[in-house]
Amino acid sequence: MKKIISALLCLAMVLCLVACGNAATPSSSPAEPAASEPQAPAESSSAGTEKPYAGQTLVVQVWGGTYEETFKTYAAPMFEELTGATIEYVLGSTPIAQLGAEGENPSVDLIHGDAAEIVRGEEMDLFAVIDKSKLSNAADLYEKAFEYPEAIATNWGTYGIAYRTDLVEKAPTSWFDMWDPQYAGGKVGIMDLGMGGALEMADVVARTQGYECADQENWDNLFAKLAELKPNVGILASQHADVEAMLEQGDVVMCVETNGRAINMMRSGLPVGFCMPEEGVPAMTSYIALTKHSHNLDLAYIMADILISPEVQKAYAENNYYAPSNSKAEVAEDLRGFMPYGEDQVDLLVYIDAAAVEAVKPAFTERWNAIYK
Amino acid sequence: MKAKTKGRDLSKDWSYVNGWYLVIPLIFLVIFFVAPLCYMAYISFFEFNGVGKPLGDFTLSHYKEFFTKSTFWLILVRTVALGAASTILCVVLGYPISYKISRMRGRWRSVLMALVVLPLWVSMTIRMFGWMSILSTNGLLAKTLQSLFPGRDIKLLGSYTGIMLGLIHCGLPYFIMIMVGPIDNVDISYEEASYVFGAGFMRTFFKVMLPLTYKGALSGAILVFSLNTAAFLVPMMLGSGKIIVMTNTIYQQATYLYNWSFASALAVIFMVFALLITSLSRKTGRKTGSRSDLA
Repeated sequence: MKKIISALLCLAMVLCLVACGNAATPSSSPAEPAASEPQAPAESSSAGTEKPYAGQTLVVQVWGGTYEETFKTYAAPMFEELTGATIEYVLGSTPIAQLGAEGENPSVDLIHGDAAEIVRGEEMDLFAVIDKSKLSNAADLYEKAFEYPEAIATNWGTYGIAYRTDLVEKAPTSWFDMWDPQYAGGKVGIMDLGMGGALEMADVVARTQGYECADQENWDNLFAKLAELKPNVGILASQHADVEAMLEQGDVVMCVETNGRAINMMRSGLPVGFCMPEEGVPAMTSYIALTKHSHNLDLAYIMADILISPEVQKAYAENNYYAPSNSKAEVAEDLRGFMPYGEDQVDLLVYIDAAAVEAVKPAFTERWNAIYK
Repeated sequence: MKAKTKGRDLSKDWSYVNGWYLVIPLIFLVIFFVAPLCYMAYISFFEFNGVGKPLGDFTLSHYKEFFTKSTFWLILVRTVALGAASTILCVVLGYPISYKISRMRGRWRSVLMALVVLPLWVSMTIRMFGWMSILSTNGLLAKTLQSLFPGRDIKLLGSYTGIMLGLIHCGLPYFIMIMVGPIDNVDISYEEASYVFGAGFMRTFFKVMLPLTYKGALSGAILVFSLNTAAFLVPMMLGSGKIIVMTNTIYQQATYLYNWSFASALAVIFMVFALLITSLSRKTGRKTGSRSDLA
């Protein structure tokens, strides 16, 4: 009897596992998307009082913190009002590996990413080619916004040096001010690989040597210069919050930081300044991409169109200090100096060749680790 | 003496854990632990063509890369050294606390045990943020040390000392909890007898208590060593990204470089080394244990 009961228990467990496995599979086959034909947002908005997508859910990955706040405050309500659908959030960095493993059943419909993540995603065939005809705001975007066929640049920030105005004798003006021997003993914070700002800093250094950071023939020179910075490095940050905490406590007196986060620190009352170094200001481009096998591609297009609309772009500029990619987004005069506002300014930024870097990343990482870790 | 009826071993019938009851946990372990582990070992022997893509040809290049590059050896040695050093300190610090708790009775024993377990109720990330503020230049510990040693530039965050403190903080509660039982099992009359026959504290400890609790201490040490060599957040947060260990290297390979085959090879090598060290400790423990039994 005991054996029969145990066998039944085992059978029940196996059935449970099978049932769970089936539950994870969407009801519609990936080969025959239930999402039917994606519709242009303009058509969706003309649906009158009927909410065309009521009951549906769009899964969006967004970076946590202030970026998420602006998304939830401005973009999400517009989307929900327009479509009747709800948004499920995946907070944190772009789940490239996860999407790769999920294949034709992606768990996320719309992602945010930087250039490296977009290049990696394109290589892995994760994203849908952007159909501009489905975006009513596409015509108003700067040309630079469509640099990659499978992504749209939503806004631009910059990388520079945030510094404690009360702890440095002279405000930095150059990237190489971080190399100053007076900051030996770990008074400088830089970003670790995997975080934006690390490769960009290396790229600017390489450009002063007449190369770019992906050019392996210059690596001996480049890494020799980067090694000179080591005595000054107090942290190789894997989170912005870590280096900001050290800057706030005075453990480091200057660090690589984005304009938006530095301005937020300034506005919170901290004695912090932000320098856009004379050798060049690397772009911190925020992209969105739609997953290729998304079952909600039409909804994802509507969300993308909202994110590049002048209203939402203005909200990101005013709250996060990231410059819009939509030429129709008007930002208040007093805020324009905080960001690369306007197409001319955007074109002046230094853009890392993400595809070239991607090809040499393992070797670059090995040499970076050998120096700093 | 085993009870037998008509040639049947009744103790087997009455065991709460006979073979069938193990089936469900075994299936769980096989599906969620053994199978992924085997798959991980499997992909470490193939070329990796990208996430979601078919594996390439059979290759030993990932293992060759590890064994021929000194940087990876250095990372492995650093990981094992940090784990071993923090384990020794956990044993040295934890044993007296376990002893004291195990010799206590009543409310205070419960209070002390609760205090030992208390840190484990808080998330590891939050605990590490706490340590970051304590170890920072303007933190409590660094300030205290600076006042004791004026003129010295004391950097705890981003140093081996900082990581060691974090590892000890994580391992100590486990060691103490494990050791309370074995020490409690040693009747206090053994110690009293030792003192009656003229042995002092040190002699009683090394000749009576330690041999009798050696196996428990070894089990505790092995657990702490396993936890500390596999630590990920502690070196990442308290090392300020400047000190890389095996777990961080595997993470970097898997999530930044997307080289899952090499990440798997690193994980397999790391696991084999950890198992070797653990089994060597057990063997040494058995020998020492049998010697002390003879003594």
